[in-house]
Amino acid sequence: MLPSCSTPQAPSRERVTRDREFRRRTRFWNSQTDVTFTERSEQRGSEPKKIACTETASVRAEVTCQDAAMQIAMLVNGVGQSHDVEARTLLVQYLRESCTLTGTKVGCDTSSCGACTVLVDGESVKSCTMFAAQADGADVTTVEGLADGPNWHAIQTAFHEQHGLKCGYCTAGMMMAAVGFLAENPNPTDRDVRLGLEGNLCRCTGYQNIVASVLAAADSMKLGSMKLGSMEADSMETGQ
Amino acid sequence: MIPASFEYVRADSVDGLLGALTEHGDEAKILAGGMSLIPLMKFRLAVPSVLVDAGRLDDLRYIRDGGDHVAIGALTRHRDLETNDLLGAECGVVRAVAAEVGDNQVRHRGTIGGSVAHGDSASDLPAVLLALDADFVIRGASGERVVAAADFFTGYFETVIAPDELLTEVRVPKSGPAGFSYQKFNRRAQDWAIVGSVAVRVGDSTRVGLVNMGPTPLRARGVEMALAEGASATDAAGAAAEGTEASADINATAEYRGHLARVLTRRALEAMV
Ligand SMILES: Cc1cc2nc3c(=O)[nH]c(=O)nc-3n(C[C@H](O)[C@H](O)[C@H](O)COP(=O)(O)OP(=O)(O)OC[C@H]3O[C@@H](n4cnc5c(N)ncnc54)[C@H](O)[C@@H]3O)c2cc1C
Ligand code: FES
Ligand code: FES
Repeated sequence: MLPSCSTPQAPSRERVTRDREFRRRTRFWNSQTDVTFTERSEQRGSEPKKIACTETASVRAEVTCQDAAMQIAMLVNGVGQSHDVEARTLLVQYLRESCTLTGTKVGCDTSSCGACTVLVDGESVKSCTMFAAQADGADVTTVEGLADGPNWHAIQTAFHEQHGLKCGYCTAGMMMAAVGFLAENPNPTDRDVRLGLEGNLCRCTGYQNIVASVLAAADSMKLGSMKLGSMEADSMETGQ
Repeated sequence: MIPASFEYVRADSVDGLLGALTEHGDEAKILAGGMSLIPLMKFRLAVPSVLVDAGRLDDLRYIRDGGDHVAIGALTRHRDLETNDLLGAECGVVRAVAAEVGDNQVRHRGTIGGSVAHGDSASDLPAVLLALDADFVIRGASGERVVAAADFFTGYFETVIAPDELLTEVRVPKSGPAGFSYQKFNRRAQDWAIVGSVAVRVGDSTRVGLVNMGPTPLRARGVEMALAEGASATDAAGAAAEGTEASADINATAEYRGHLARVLTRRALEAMV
C-alpha cells in the first residue's frame, strides 16, 4: 500500500476549470496580453485549419497527422508502454488513461500546483504541461514506481512517519518533486527544501511536516548509501 | 483542459525544422520547453494548426566560451544555466537569474530561447540580456542574422523573429562572476515578477534592466546616466520609472509598479557587489 490515496478509476475526461477569476489570475490573462492572443485565435477561427498530411522526406522531419493517432512508446516505472494517442494528449492524461496509472493527480491543470509531477529521465516535470509525444522514448517514473515491491521508498516512509500529508491529494506530486529534488540536492537545508518544492502546493498541511518529511528522507537516504558504501568496503576487504 | 487538435512534427535537425516552418507558414508554431506555449494552447489562446517540436535539437543545447562572450544555444534549459560553471564565472548574473525563473519543474523544461522568443516583458531573462547588450542569432531559410537586444523586443509578446525563423543562439558579453543584483518582487513563490530590477556592473559602467515595466523589457537609462554622473544609489534609483509604460492588472496599478521600480532598483544598486 502506498501512503497516498488513489482514486479507483480514472475520470474519463480532464477536469475543466473555467472559473473566470481563476483565469484572470493567471499570467495569460494579464492586461493587454490576452487581446493579442485572442485576436490571433479569432483571426484563425476557433477551429484550426486542417492541413493535409504529407510525408516530406526532403525536410528530414518526422510528420504525424492531425487527429489521427500517432504511436508513442516509453518506459513507465520500468515497464514498456506503447499506445496510439492524439498528438494533443497531455502526459498526465496518457499516464492516467492509457497506462491506467491513476496515482498521478490533476490539481490545477494550469502548471501551478505540481500535483501532476512525475520524473521524466530523472527530472521532475509537471505532466499537465507536457505532451505525451514529447516523452516518446523517455524513462518515466510515477508514484507507483517508487516502492520496490513491498518495500517503501525512503520518501514514502518519511511522509508516513512525519505526517507529511492530510488529504493526500498533493502527496504523489510532492513526493515525486522531492525525489527529483533530493537527487539534485542530497544535503538540503530547510530553506533549500522550501525553495526546491516551490512548484508544489498543499492546501492542508501548512508545509511544515512536508519539509520535515523531505529532510528525514534525505537523512535516511544518506544513511542508506553510507551503509551500502560500508558493505561494499567490507566485501572488498574480505574479497567477497 | 485539452488543446485544439494540431499536427505534430518532430524536428530532428535545424534544417528540417526550418523546412517545416516554410511549408506551414504562420499556421505553425515552434515548441521548445512548452512552459509558455502549452498553457496558452490549453486555454486556447494559441491555436496553432501545426506544432513543430524543437525539443530534441540537442545541437542547440550548449553553453560555450565565445571569446568576448558566452554563446548559449537556444534550446539550453534554465536548469542547465543555473548549474553551469562557465556561465557562473563569465556571466554570473545570467546564471543567478535563471535560478529565479518559475520552479524546479519549469526550469527542467523551459529554455532560454523560449523565454526570449516568447517576448513576455514579465520574464526574468530578457531584461538581463538587454542590460548586458546580448546579441540574438536568428536563422531562416534564407540565412542567418544577428540582432542586438536593443532592437529585438518590439512590443507585447512581439519580437523581430518572423514566423518562419528560429532563434538559434544567444551571445552574452562577459560581465564576470560578481557585481550584480536581481531584485524580483512577486507575491507567490514560482510566479512571474510583478516588477523586477537587475543592476549589473560592466567595466566601469552600471547597467539597469527592468522587468514588467512596459510592453517590452526596458533599460532604466535615467538611472544609468545619473550613476555615470556620480549620483548615489538612492538618488539615481529615483529615476527608475522615468520613460516606462507600466500596465495595471490584478497585481498592481501602474503607479504602484513605478514605486516598486524605484525601490527595487535602489535595493539592487545597494546590494550589487
Ligand atoms: C508555473 C510557471 C511559472 C513560470 N514562472 C516564470 C518566471 O517566474 N519567470 C520567467 O521568466 N518565466 C516563467 N515561466 C515561463 C518559463 O520561463 C518558460 O520557460 C519560457 O517563458 C518559455 O520557454 P519554453 O522553452 O518553455 O518555450 P515554449 O513555451 O516552448 O515557447 C514559447 C514561445 O516561444 C517560441 N519559441 C520557443 N523557442 C523558440 C526558438 N528557439 N526560436 C523561435 N521561437 C521560439 C514558441 O513558438 C512560443 O511562441 C513560468 C512558466 C510556468 C509554467
Ligand atoms: S495539475 Fe499540473 S501543475 Fe497543477
Ligand atoms: S495533503 Fe491535502 S493538499 Fe496536501
